[in-house]
Amino acid sequence: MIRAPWFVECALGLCPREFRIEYREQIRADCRARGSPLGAAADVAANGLMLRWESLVRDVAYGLRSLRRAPLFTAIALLTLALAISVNAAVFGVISTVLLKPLPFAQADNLVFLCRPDGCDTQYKNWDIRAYQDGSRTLEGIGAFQFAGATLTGFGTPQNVDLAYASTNFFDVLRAHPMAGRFFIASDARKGVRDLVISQKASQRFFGGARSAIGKTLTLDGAQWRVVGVASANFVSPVSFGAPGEHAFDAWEPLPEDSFVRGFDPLNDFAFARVRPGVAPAALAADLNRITAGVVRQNPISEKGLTARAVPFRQWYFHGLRAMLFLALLAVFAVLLIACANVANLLLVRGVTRTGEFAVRNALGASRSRIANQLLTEVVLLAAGGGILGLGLAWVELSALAALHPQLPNVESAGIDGRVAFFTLVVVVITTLVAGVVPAFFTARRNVNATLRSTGRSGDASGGKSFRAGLAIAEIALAFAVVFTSGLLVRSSIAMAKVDFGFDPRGMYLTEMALGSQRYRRADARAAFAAGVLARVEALPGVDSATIGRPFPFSGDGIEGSGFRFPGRAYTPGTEPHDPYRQVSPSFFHVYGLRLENGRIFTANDRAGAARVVMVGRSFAKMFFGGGNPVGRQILIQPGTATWTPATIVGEVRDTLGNYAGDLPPIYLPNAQMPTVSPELAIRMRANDPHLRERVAAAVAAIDPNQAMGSLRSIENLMEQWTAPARTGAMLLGVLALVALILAIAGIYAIVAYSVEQRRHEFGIRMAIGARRTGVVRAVLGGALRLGVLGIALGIVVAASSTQMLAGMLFRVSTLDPITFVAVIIVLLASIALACAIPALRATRVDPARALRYE
Amino acid sequence: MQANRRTDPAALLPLGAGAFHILLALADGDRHGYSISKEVEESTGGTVRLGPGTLYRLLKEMLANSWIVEIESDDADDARRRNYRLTAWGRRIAQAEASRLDSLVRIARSRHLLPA
Repeated sequence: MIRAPWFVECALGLCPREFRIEYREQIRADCRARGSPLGAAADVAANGLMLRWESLVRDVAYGLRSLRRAPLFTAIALLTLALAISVNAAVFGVISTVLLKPLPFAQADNLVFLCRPDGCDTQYKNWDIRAYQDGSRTLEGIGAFQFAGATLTGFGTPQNVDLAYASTNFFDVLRAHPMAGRFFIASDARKGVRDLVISQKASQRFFGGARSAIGKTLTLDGAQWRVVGVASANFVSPVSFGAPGEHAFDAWEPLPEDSFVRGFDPLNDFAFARVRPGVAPAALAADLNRITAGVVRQNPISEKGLTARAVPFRQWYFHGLRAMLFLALLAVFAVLLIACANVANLLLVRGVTRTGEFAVRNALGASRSRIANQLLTEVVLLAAGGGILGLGLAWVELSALAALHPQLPNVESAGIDGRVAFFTLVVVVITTLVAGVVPAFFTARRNVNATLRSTGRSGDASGGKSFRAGLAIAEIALAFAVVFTSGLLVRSSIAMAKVDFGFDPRGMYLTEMALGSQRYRRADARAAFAAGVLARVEALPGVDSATIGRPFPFSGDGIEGSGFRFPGRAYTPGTEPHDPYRQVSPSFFHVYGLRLENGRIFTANDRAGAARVVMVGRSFAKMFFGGGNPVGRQILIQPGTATWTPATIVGEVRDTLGNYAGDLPPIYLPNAQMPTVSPELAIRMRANDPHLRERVAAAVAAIDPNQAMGSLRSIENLMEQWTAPARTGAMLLGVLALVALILAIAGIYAIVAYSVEQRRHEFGIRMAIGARRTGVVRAVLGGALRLGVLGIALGIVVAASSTQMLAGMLFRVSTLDPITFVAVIIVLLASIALACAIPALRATRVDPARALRYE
Repeated sequence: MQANRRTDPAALLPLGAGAFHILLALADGDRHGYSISKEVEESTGGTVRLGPGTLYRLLKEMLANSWIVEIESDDADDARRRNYRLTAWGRRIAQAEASRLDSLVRIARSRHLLPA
């Protein structure tokens, strides 16, 4: 063989295989004879591509005709693929809008929160932050802020504003630009400077615009603040993102350096930093550890236990969500694989029935690769059709999801965009490869063999048979993994719904106030305010009982003190049990229906100046007194003071859950002896009152006309919010599990039904020589259940390796929960048996005489 | 439609230029591929050139439709060369195209576009 110049060979490579083999030698010879091989090569290339195009058009036209001739097959395959592709596109659509959208911060990839091991609501002292700021070689700057509230007066009735105390570099670290005026400068942190930055919304509401707000004053908690800057409308505060309505601040006050902002709240709620460009995470961690070690070495007692870990913004925002969506993505991928297996099986079966057709084409000169190409074209057509239908379905599913679960950030803007379309294209390609390649290969091979053998019965090639068994096992394994995972989530959400919070939330309402003004610096003023408001609210019509204090179950906000010591024992500071304090009025135990187990409940006599008393819950007594009666015992507490003060346990009650689910049990203090700066008011209603909010606001105004109150929320709603994400996850996975189960069972049915069809003859002979019907049924069911057991065994391996990620999402359910395990195995085996009952019964109806006639 | 294209050459007209030239080249005897393209080039004074891709694509199509057949090569020293021969059906198609062109030329003459 004499080769032509390389460009002619390349041009030949562009031609369809058959044409190339047929005319290669002649074209090479021609090119040698001609003067200009380059022009000849171009001509060969152009004609080669034209031939390929024509053959593609022919294949597509033939494929469409052949699919139209088998409408049932086409409809089932299209629907299966459309369903599977649609859930893939929909879940990716959510991921694309919720997780992959850029964060609303400049160069957000360099922003991190400084976190302790247990969380990022860090409680760092100002001077810790300064130590990291000054000592770091890897950070550009550290910003910090605290949540706060303030009462705004001077604009009609007093109103609550959401306020943050922000470090003066807060906006600079975020690289934000003011809409008008300026952000904070270092001198704003000096004592006595009252410069305020407000949000664009606040500037609209109070001054009619950003520009006109500059230089104006706002009265917050009785003090005059000068507006120096307005943040732009699209400014988002760290931690506000992804939680619409939560912590969307109206105003920022500078965090005064070296001073306690609130009475006893010297710690920052959040600290975040901008990392210098190009710093590796390991270098950042090493840098932070080095500074931590230095600080602890210099202050071994006060700084014991200090740690700082950098957590990227994106990771922090999407921690829980990412796990859930990633799980959903795995589940939809499993659904896709099951659908592919079903279609592959359908194609194999159809390939057998088309033996004659392919034999004819083969005889007419179509090679095996031409026939395989033809089959692949049909799969591509099915997958593409499934993709288009799937995109339409995905759009419907996304709309339904947005309607059902609006608390996913951005979910309302989730839709079919270029990214989703591209992802769907990738899914279609995967589908084609997974569902199409093997059946095309088997079919093309079998048909060539079949024509050679030309035996009367079209037997099943053994390769196809074991491949189908493999398909069945894989389908069962995937279905098991998805159903098991969703079973765990369902059990977890049921466990959450069934949690006994120790009180009846029906007819209960919660609101809170921030006592920020100068007059409430004094504890007795706060105590008097609380007592006055409580007395008026208790007297309102329809009110059964009410209590004031902090923090109440489901209020979601922080504590004002924690920790206790046993008298007479030596403690290294920070090593004592840090059970949180819960300041309550005596009525708390009645309002929440906590039964007294031992001792007495607080009374009005447990006031400031009287002997200090505390109450504890059952679990506290169990934890620290071995379950014995704790009443009468003394402990040391820090009720808003730095010194450890003795207090007597006077009562023991049943536990409540709520904020402290799974956490340390609280210590109850009389609010009168440690009056909170942010009182919460819990009201139990006897009868519903649509005007409750106005009446409570009037009661507050009667005590202090300049004091605002927050929104009034039903505790039932708050509880529902707590369980909503779990319910959504369980529902989402549950739907996917149902889809996976139905598809898998349909697939098993098809596989078993076909194998029975193939073995008709065998069953006929068996029955002719005396086999009983039950024996035949047992043979069919036994075969199917053997596949089922193998599939489940494989599924357990898959599930065990993927449930690890579930651990953080489960509530009081183990990732290897035996009940779910057994239940899912029973459901799967029962479904398989049910699906195989029809073909098994059909096998017993084979007429032995007829089966033998063909022998 | 399908039947027409098998029995009535008029259904196939007008032919592509390349196809007609190949039929013309084969009208006076069998030729192998390269010889066809050389003949086309010579008879048109070099104005029509058939590249090998075009040539063999058209030959393959004509073979499939039985306009031509492949015959044993008698050229012993080049067995790679395959000879092609016009079939009766192919000749009818060539004639139909030629007479179509002829009638066009006659019209052109009557309109004095060409000398009579």
